[in-house]
Amino acid sequence: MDETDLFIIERMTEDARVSFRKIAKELGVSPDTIISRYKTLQEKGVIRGSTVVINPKKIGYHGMAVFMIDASPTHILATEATPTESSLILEKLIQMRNIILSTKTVGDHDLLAIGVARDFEHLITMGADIAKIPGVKDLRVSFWVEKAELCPKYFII
Amino acid sequence: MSDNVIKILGMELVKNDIIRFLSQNSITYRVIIRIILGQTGYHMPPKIKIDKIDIAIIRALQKDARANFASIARDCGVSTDTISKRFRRMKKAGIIRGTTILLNPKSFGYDCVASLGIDVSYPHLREVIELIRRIPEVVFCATSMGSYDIFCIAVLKNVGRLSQVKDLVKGHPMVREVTTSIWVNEILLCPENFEFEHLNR
Repeated sequence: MDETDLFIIERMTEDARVSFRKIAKELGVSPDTIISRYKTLQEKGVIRGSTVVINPKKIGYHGMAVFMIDASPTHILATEATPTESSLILEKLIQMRNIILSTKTVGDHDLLAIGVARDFEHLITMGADIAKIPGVKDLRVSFWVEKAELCPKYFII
Repeated sequence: MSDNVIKILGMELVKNDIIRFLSQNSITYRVIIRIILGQTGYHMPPKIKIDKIDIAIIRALQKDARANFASIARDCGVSTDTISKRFRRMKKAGIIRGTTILLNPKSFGYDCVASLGIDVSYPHLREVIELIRRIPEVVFCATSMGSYDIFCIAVLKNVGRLSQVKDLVKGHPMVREVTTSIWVNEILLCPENFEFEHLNR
């Protein structure tokens, strides 16, 4: 990665729809250079994709919650090929509505999911739905409302 | 009721009279003025109705922010102009904050993403928040209810640095406990799980 790449990344972080011609003009290079650089960055996995950032509050989601999940032990000797309990839970989690991030974790819990909730009732329903996933042993939740103390302009999750 | 007349506690009052009456420069009065005149900085967001087309735009852009407006228009059976107008309208209303690219932290030498759950002595919450705000690696921090008092997400160079950050936070006299969870490689972002359909009623 060089200065040009970083410039492209910087501009596109601010606005993913910015025209390549505009970036090219600002850098004094040809639009083709920018396009090929962008493609390379994608191929190398530096840029994983692009998305639109929604303000949840504006569409009636007043809270966010983090669910910390413990998976029950399987008592099966896992090999590389057998899916583990937490992988199965993860698969279910990412299909759940309003869960916008999920990951396996190392530490206090086995999995973590972040979701958006319309209100208390919704939050509790979401918790109950997660608890219903087979293999979930325990569930803990923390939730917050209104704005966060520290949050990047484009917080995807 | 004219613009200059407001209704407080069932009484119709003329704004200018109240200002004259309350402008005693005491802080309380100033606050009251601000509240009754609606200058608290709080205002209701403009309510705009979201319909099928708006949802189609958001759904397309969630997958690829550079999606072609012309092709979204074709799918919806409307003009490209309509799509860009709708996009601008949602941006103006604050529903859409913007568009951005998703980067891989590893490409920039940040190998460790972790969340920190912090328990504090609640009356001293702000002091701990101030400490956390000064840690550059913490990208998100919210005061929360439930399991933890503060929930943070940090993007760090390595696990060693995570340990340093944990020790730093734990060093604060008002912190009771810090629990860390390291996020394993496959962090799955699924903004498309966001439900909008209930809005289209």
